[in-house]
Amino acid sequence: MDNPAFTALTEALSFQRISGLIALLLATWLVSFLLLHGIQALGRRFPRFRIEILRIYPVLRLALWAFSVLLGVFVVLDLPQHIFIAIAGAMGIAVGLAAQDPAKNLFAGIAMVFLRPFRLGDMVSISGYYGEVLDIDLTFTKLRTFNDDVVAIPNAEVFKQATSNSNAGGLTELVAVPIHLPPDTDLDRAREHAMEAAICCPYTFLKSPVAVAFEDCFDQTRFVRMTVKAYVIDVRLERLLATDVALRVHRALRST
Amino acid sequence: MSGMPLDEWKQKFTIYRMRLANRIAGRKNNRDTKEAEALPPPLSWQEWPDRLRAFPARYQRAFLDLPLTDPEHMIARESLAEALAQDVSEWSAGGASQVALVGDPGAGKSTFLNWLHKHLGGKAPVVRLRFANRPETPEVLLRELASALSLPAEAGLSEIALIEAVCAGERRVVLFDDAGRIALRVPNRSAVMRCFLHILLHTRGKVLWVAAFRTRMWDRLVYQHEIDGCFSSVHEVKFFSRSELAAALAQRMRRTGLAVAIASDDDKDRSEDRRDKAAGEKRVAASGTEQLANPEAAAVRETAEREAVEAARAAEEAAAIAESEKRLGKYFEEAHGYSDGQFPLALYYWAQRAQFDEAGQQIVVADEPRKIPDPRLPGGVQERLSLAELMVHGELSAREHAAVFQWSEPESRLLLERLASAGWLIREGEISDPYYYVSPLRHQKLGKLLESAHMLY
Repeated sequence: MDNPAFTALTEALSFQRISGLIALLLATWLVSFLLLHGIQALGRRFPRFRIEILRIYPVLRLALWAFSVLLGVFVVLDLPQHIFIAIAGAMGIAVGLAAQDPAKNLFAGIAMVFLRPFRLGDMVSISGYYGEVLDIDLTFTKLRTFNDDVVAIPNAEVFKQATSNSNAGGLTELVAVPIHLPPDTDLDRAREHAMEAAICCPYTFLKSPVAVAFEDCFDQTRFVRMTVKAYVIDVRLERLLATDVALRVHRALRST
Repeated sequence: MSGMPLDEWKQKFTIYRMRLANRIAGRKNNRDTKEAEALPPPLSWQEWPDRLRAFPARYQRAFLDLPLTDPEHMIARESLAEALAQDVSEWSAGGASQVALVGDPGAGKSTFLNWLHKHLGGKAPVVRLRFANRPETPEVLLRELASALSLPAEAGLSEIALIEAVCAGERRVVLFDDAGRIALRVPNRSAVMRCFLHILLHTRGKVLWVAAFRTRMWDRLVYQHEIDGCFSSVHEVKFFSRSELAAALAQRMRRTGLAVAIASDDDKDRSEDRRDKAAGEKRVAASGTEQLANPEAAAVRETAEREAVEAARAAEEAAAIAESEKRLGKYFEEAHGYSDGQFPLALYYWAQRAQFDEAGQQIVVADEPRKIPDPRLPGGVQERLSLAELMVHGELSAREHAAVFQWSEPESRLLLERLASAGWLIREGEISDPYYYVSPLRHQKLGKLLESAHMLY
């Protein structure tokens, strides 16, 4: 067995080098873990810049893993170039045939890091799920819904579908609060109450305008849909604002 | 790098690390022992007035803050005073001036209203106005205004008739302190602010309104009511800069006529005294021997020596005063770091590090400034939002807080008491209906924290 390629391969796959590679990958995972927690702590320390701070994590993590893999292949394993090309080619065919979906997710994940249709901390709606983007992994995007569920959506799905982003990197977002009224309601008074409710709600961001819209609707019976639109001071308080405004409007309408 | 081997770098690093550790440990021990030995524990803002009352009258004059009369408040504010005087002269010439003074609490808005009162000096009728309670309806506002302006407002008049009654008065100046108290973030209160703006616009050219607003309330009224459009001039009253505050403190100390010494100099002075005493004893012993030998020559020499000593002492005293002012300047400027340019707070911090001698002749300033540590910002959204609303409104009773947040009054009171016990708020007023406001010691810090948390904007 004096084939030089085989000798180089057995050398590269020696116990010592494989242990080195495992140690490197563990160290990379640890650094990535610490990086995530450090960035999250920074986001908590400066809540106003939370979303801007969190957005750098996916890029840093991708760069860290890419660097680690290259270091592992070319320095720790020290694979000769022709063997690396042969292995990469074989793996490419294997991945292409056997792992189409994970590969799709992986490439979609890499593309998302650079194209950034949304960032960590954004409130998005994907595949019928609405919530805060918790993590953009290389394979999954995780959302936390207002029911406190964490939903993992494959990146390929995210890329395939239309996504709606409520705040697009900002801390405030427009919240629409629909309120259904009987058709004979005094709409002028209802509008006045709605405006007052939105302005007086402590979650409302007063630097942005408040608006009220009406729409005639029919579902078995005729009714009027009043939509109160106000910006919330922090996307995480969206439901609190909606509940507070709805309560205030109903209370005011009941009292008149 | 190649010039210095790695071992040498390591050695250097170890030396610097040890030096730094020693320095930190030394400073900490030094501070702890000094504070424990020399100074009583720091006082809270509430305890401060009682402590001040216990001082001799001279000391009270040094630290008492009377914004309406103290000349220190007007230091470096000549341009704003000139602008206000210009507004008044425009109004006197028939112009339609309406003036807003906008500034953070403690910046000196009331001082300017007082200055204006003095400046007018009987040239025009002046009314000073400040609402004790927030008017709940336009009618209450109009009746309060009519009463303050001594205008007749019979019972049963409609809102329009009341507006006409308030607008019908003579030409006058109204100095309206804390005008933002008209506003409260609860439903139906917008009507009260709209009514006030209506009055402002209707009395333009006749009544000169000079209204003082807190900055955050002013900002909110600008978003909500575009209130800036109703005033012809808006002047910002800023806190003192570092050098302005130092000048104000120096002036205050000069005005009280008390000597100010630095605590660390005491030991030095005592050792110098001992040295001087020993030298004096030696001189006396030498002159005693000479006096026995030649009494006339000894007398002449003694006179010459005395004159030389007196001249040297005068020169020393002049140098000492210059040196003292120079050295105290550092301490005055340091007060800015603790008070963010608020003169009353600077006096408070200055008094915290001051000690008084029994003879009532001088103030001894401790080297280390002392400050009560700030509490942590509460993590709950409701607590943070409550603090933000208090920052905007200035003060809120439990009833008003409950109305703003649509809670029950006991819930509101519990939350406000929690914040007060944490040190963020101060409770005052009757036990049955107390009101709460942000502690002046925490105001600046809290504002920054809430802005950083995007609860205040």
